[in-house]
Amino acid sequence: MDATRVLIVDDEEDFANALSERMRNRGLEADTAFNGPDAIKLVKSHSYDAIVLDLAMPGMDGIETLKRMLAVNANLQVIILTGQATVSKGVEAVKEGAFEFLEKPVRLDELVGKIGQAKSVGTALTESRINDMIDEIVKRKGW
Amino acid sequence: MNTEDKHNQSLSFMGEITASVTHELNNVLGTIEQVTGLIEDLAAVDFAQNSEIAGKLLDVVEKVARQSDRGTSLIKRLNRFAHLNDEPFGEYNIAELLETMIYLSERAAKMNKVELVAGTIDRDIIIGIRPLATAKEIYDVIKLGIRLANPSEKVEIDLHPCDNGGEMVVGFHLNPESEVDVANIQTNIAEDDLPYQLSGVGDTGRMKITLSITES
Repeated sequence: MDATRVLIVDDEEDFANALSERMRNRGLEADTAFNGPDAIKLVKSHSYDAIVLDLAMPGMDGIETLKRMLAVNANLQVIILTGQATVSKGVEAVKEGAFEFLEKPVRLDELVGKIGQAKSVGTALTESRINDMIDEIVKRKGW
Repeated sequence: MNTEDKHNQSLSFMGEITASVTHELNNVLGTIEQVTGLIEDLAAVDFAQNSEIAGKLLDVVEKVARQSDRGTSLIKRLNRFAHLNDEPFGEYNIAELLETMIYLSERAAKMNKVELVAGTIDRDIIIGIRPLATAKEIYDVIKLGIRLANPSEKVEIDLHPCDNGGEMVVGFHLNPESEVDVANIQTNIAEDDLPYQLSGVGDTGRMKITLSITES
């Protein structure tokens, strides 16, 4: 089975780097981006099983980054990290298409668990899309 | 600008600064948590080769992690408190508000050598309130309980549903050596039209302070 590939997006570089290294120690492949525009570039050029996205970032914030990522790939599974006491932003993110939100600081085992769930959902969506495409081809060809 | 507007502006200012700083501190603690976790990962790998140093390193990491957890809990609650000023009115889960204020009152309890304990807390009371004003009422009641309670004993806080909201009850044993005049306090509460009541529970030496938290 391919290793789980994750993109961590957070303007706190030390946090993102430490988290990505801990994930690599656990057998995941992890990339980092420290702002929304860089994250979107990576999403356009790489395939990820899950994105871990901080909500409060300077410049392009988490919600805007989420929307633009999903515009690139609607099947992306994005886990939002929210540090604010009120989790209303996290709920808003889920309404915009995020997979889940977690409150910072986050326990690594909980996050890795959510990444696993996100990967399963993403895989199922991809398979479903492929099946739909096959059905469409079969119908068109009249096989 | 009238006095109330000035007061509201001051509260907004305090809330904004507190929310901003606690958010940053939360990030700091989150980073410390991940970095100490990384040290733990690395120490575990090297354990076989250099067990004494790895063992000491893990010990240090545990201490840092404990303090980090403590800081994180404080920051989370303080951040929640700071955000109470975001809207002058809103729907709130009273149990969550109560638990935040209990947590933020723990230092006051510690300084008075009493322990705050959450007893039976109903988690389904969600009503429209003025959050900052309600938080202050809750805090005033907890503070009074801490002040009157017998040191080294528990101050137990319960929340029960009632018509239109919830009833918070702070129960404690009165400090027998206290020079506080309970009757005087009861009179002051009534005269100042404060929203809570102080009463004794039979001849047990137990007192309770009752605050009704209802839809604003």
